[in-house]
Amino acid sequence: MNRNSLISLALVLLAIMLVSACAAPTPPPAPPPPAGATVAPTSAPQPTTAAQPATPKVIRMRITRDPKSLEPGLFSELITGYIANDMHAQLLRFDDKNQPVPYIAKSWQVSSDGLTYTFNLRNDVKFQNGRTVVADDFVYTFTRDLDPRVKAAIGPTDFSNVKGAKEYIAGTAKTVEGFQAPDATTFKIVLTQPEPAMLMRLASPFTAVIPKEAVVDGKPQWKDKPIGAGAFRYVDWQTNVKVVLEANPDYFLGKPKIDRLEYVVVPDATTAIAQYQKGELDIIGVSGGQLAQVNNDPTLSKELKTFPRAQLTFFVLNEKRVPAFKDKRVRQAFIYAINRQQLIDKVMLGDRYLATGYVPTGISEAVPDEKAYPYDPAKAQDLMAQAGFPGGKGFPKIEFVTTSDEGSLAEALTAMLKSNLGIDVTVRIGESGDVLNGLWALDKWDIVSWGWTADYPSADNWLYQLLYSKLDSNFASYNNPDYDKLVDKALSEMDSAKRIADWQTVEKMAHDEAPMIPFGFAKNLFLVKPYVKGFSASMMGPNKFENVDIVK
Amino acid sequence: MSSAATQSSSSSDLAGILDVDRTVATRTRSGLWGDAWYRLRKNRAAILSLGFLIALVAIIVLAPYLGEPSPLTQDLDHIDEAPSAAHLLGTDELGRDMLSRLINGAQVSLMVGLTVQTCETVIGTLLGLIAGYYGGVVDMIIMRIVDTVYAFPPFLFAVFMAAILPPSVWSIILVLVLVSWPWEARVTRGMVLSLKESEFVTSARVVGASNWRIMLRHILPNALSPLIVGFSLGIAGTIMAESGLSFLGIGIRPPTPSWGGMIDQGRLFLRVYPHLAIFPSIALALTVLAFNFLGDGLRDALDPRLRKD
Amino acid sequence: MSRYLFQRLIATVFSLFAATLIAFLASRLAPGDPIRLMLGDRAVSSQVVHQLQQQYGLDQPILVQYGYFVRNALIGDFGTSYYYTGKPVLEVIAPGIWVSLQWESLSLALAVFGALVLGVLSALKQNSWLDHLIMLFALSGISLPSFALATFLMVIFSLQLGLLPVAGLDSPAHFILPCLTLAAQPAALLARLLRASMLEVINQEYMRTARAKGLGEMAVILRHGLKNALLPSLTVLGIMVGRIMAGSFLVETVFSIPGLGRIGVQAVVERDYPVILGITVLLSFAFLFVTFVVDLLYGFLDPRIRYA
Repeated sequence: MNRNSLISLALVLLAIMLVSACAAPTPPPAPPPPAGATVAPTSAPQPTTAAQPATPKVIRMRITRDPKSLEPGLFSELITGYIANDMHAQLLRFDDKNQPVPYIAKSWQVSSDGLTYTFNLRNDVKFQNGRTVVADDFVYTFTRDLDPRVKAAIGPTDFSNVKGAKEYIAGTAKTVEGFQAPDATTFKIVLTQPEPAMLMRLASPFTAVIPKEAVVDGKPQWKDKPIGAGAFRYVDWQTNVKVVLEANPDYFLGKPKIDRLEYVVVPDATTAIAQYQKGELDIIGVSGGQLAQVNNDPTLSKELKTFPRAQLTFFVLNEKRVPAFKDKRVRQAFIYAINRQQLIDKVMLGDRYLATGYVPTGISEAVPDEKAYPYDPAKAQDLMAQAGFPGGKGFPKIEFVTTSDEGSLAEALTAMLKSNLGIDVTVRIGESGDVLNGLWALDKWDIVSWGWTADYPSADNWLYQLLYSKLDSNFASYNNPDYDKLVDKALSEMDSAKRIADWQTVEKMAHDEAPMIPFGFAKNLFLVKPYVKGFSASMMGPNKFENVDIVK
Repeated sequence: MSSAATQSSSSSDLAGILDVDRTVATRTRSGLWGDAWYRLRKNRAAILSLGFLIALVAIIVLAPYLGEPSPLTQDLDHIDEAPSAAHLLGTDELGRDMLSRLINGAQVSLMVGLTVQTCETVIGTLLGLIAGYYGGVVDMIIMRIVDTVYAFPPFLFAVFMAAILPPSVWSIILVLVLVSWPWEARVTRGMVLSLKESEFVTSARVVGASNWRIMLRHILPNALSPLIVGFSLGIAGTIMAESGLSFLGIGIRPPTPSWGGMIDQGRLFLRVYPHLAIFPSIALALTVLAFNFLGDGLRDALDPRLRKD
Repeated sequence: MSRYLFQRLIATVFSLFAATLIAFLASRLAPGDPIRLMLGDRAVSSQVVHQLQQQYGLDQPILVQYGYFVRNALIGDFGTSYYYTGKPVLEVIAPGIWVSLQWESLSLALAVFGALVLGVLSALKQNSWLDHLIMLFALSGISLPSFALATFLMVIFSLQLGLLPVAGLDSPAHFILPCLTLAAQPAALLARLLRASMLEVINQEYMRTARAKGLGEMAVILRHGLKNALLPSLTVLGIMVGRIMAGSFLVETVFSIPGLGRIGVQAVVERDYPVILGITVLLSFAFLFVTFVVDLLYGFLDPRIRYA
């Protein structure tokens, strides 16, 4: 080898070493352990709790971005929900069948008129600061959620029917009459009108209880010390890096099996898989394009865990923008003309279940054995001709709007509409914020691809919120008084068996009317290292990590 | 004074931020065009690059007649296929032919590069001429605008503009022009400042030539060589900048193929379908290299002072 | 000199204001109602939305809003983030400043050091295969988009070879790949410039004199050649800093580095206007400051410069 190239190589190496030497983070690296000693994990400083086992069991899970807040009630947002679920505890929680079951509340009674809920609380639940959780804490937390100064997103929606809520929000009352704590272990909610979804709302992590003393001057001191009553307690939140939690030894259902839980922020999908493969992450959620790699890698495909998710993805057919969509035949023709199964298999790489209707399979009100519209171009052309658009003639030029991660989907789908219906559809890729804003504007986009995730696993999230004529979130501007009547009936039905039947009637009507194109029922897909035992997810997201263990 | 002008033209180069690499080009003097061509011909790398770029243009022009499938035709039964006889460079995630997409991407990249460079050269040169020639308040206003654009974080600016403008190729072009014209303005202004008091300008003024005539006929030609070099290197920079925008999701939107967008999409498949990212990377790198070599060659050819014999 | 300094200062302040105004106007013109974005997917009545708009002052005329913004910014209050509920913007940005400063200055150092070595070597061995190799490398450095380079390096060194960690900044080893990626372009730029100016200097009179005095070739190069070749290179320092700052937007996302670039990209995706504005002000300020210092430094090192 040439002497010069050796010199240059040496210099380059020197440069690299210089970098690594200078790059030491704030705590200097520990001295090398003596030969043969077990190397301690170097990732983070040890939490200062007593009696740690020799090797702490740490699970590192990917999140795509920071949570908005560590306070549960402020935002109904996916990642905030993930972490709130582990840090906090609420009155009820969901079982495997997505039904509310006891959690902090041991039991509960609902009055026959459906207006009064009485919860009997456990007396052994402690906040992570050592204080016992009492009924007054729920009064405080829920009142706070309604406080306009707090700007919580949950309260005004979840508790709008609570007696005295309107007066409190308007400032004419100092307390909310409908939140009552007759004694330390009894908490009561009084409503002004029956609300079947109430128990579901109280099982969501967003209604978790927080201690009054952690909130100063109406502002949470969460930056310093967020406190909950859940299985894990707060250690550290480095913005844009990770949220670190550790096992709460005083958790009322027993100390979790792992010692530490880290939610690591990894924005880039390619990087996330690489980190998982390298062992820098133990659990990552995967979607879309990542599945090409997962499906083609024997190890990864074995480690892929699939759970259904309470989300419907759909294409809004905006009747306000395109009057032709007021014709049921046109709407149905669009469904027949799109080979949704092929799109899911080839473009989404399996990251969806084909949506048979609007209520995702697994929700108790879903219609069993519901049949999806088949792919049938001939029928589609037939319907279009009946509606007055033979071969797409006379149909206006329309635009399909979606976000950048669905660019391929948009291209494939518009190609199908062109070849099957003869309709020209242009594609517009927008930032999710733009698309969302246009959706809320109601008269901006012709066809939009969007997803709607449930706050709690119940049919009204889709059948009422998306299709009821009087709501802002009726993006298709679908207006059908008969449909509204059916929804009204289902919404006020307190008997759960009858309510399920009612919603199924609504669903059947929606299925036939086809006000939007249902595309897929979403999946919760996770790559989970084989040494992580007991990880599971409900339709609402990953379950609490309290029973997850590491067995190497 | 002259050195100050040159100095300020390169000390804070926003074009550089957007990867437009042209700084080295500032120090030039006019030469005889014939000599320049002669010297350029002797530069093997530059000539090779020129040949490559001409071939690229030829392929783009001839593409419709080569019988390649359309870059937009999908075939969901043949997705992510490796190179084969049917698809020389394989197919992408929607079963589209990679080769035609690369060629189409080349067309888009070159179109964007040429348009952006032409626009920014015209705008920047004019403003630079005016600022340098008239001086005073006009100069101050123009140069403060230049400073402002330089100081603005370019990606944030691009993101803002992308949010306001409709998503189209023309918006991308506008954004890239808006962040990069100050480079030309500074170079031209510097040239004007150093030439304004020269003998031939003074004599032109004495014989009563109009201001515009002096600017366009006497001053501009002397500033041409750095601008020509900057043009070539600037195209390379523009192509790179567009790819950066594509990575941030605000570049050229699908279905129009762009190299940057293809690389970004392909990154996710790097370990299973490497051809999706690697082919566009190679195409982009070769083109950028070619424009760089050509720019270097032009600089050497136009500025004999830098040549070592 | 002091008059020049004063002029520069005024100009800098002006540019800072202008940049802020542009950012501010753009943020208000951009589609995407921030309140809707804050609320996410939830079905909330337009009345609640209107209330929140009032609370955040979004119903005021735009220039009034800008006035408030400037007034508050002058006392260090950039408002509160839309994304991180109620968190002051400075608190969101502050950790990023330190991270960016740390790893970007390392990258800059690496770029300068690498460019020095490569530029000098290739000038000394002009037209040798080593020279060609180095220049090819230097050109490759500027011919691949940094996000692509980052991914390729990551796959090769972290996954295939298993030598380096993938992402994050937990240990010294974590710095290697991001710094290499970010340094590649400015290093290439400087190396080419250095080579050119070295070639120019090498054949100068004083170099011959130095050689004639019997100094070793290395000493001649380092003591006399490099010193004089460095001066023109100083002018590109500002560009290198700018390029590193811009590159960080792409590279920080790939390597999950919590610097200003990442915070900026994130804020853009979330339409967190107060944070975007804060970062714009900060980066503009940093850039103008660096330019200012480089100008002064240049004037100091080269007394021939007379400022216009």
